[in-house]
Amino acid sequence: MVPRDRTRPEILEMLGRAAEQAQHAEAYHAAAADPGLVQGQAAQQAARDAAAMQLIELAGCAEDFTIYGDPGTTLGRLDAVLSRLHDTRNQLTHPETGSPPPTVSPRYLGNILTQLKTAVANVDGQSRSRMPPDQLEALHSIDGGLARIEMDGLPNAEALRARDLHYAGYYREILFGRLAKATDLYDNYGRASDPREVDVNSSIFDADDFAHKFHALRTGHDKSRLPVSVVAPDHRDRISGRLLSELVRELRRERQTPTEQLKELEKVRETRGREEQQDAIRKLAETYADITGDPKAEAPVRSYLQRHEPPLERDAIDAMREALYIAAARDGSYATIAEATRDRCLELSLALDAQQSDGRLIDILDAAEAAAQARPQASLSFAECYGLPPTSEEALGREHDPEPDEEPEP
Amino acid sequence: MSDTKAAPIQIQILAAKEEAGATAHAVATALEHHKQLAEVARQHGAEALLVCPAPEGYVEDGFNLVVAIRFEEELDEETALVRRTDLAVSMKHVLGVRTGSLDIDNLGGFLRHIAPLLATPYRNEIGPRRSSVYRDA
Repeated sequence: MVPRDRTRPEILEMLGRAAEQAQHAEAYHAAAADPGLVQGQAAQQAARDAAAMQLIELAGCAEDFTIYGDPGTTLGRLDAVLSRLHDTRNQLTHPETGSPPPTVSPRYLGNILTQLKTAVANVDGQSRSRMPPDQLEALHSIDGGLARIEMDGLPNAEALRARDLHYAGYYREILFGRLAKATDLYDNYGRASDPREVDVNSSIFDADDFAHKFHALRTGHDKSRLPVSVVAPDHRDRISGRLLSELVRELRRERQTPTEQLKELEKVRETRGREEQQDAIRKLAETYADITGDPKAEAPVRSYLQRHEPPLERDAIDAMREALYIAAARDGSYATIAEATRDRCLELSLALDAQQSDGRLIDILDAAEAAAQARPQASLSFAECYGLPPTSEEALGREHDPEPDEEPEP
Repeated sequence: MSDTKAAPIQIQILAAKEEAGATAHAVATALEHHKQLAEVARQHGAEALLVCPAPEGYVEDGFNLVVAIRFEEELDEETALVRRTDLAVSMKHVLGVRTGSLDIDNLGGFLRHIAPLLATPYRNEIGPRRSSVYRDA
């Protein structure tokens, strides 16, 4: 393989990506138990992954057909469709080269099926009779593959079937295999003593086969039975109770130095922190849109928070969201919000007014402040405020003024 | 295919080390036929071609050459894929070499991946999309 001289970080990156692909495959096969639960963008992605796998299967059926056809001839047209099919399969199945795979939609697959069907049908009996036996057999294999794939039907994101999700899983298994294989770490088929390495090895080996002879691996008289998935619990050499993705992650971790592990954990924490902050921003923007009843009000809030310097922590954004709810309720309890949070809400309201001429938040906050002032002050004692036992004066029924500038803990 | 109005095609051919074997030979063939390649590419509406030696994974699948393509028009992903694969078929006819295709503007780490195969380090001679150069100007 080319990447024998890969650097350690590259190998670790490759293994990380391989583990991710194995995890995707595991998720797809698990989701096949209830395909209806896969919706929206996830369903679109699953349909594309399933279509990619069907295309790979079809290309595998056509692998042995090698007759070159001159352009403009019947065989030339067949050759052209097959070349396109193989080229697309190649782009789909070599993530180790670093080039992102193209998007193959069910429609793209459908077009290739139609073109291939026409091109094969145009090869007349006379041409067939002149073909060497192995090529005639290869042509039959294309016929068989086309018929079976047509019978299977194309995936539809709106109505995914269990088989589509399994196919999407097989595709991710191929990606896993190619990435893990390119590390050269498991190039020890039959020689490894660590059962985890044996498991990974067998998985790479079988995933490689999926890229070339998936159709041949289907069984049953009508090829209706699918091969055992590489991530399945009953895949050969699988360590009982372990997931393939888990194993790959574990083996990868063992190759990392403690410093690398720490660095990675830090990175994960940072990423998670950023995701949580973005999530908090989204929720706050949605809350404002809900309160104003104006879906368009969301974007400026989001934009303001995303550009805020220094960036606001998730907790601070969540507190602002809470404050907005309380302010909108106008029940007089806005004064109980911590001053720092009220200040941030005020800054937001001023920014919206200045940049968007949206004075609605200013009005909401003004009304909330007014309601808070109008609300009769609860006659809580200092001790009650702070959850302390009563002082002797209070116990005697005398009043005690809490310090006016101090706020109770939220 | 586009009409025959002359529009210069930018072609960069990345020479491969001799030890790359069949793929080095395929690149040499592309170099020999670069004028025909340019003509075919122009007929397909391409603006730029980057001809690369195929990495080992591709070679195992029977491809000795990879051509990264940019079309004059900005196309949706699927149309671009169809047009790229069509152009790769035409290139195969010109060169007699099985050619894979990629999107020149979405190569990811591909060039880094094939770096060990290259006779000299890669240097970008093609630059950005023509229309974006005009936009910048």
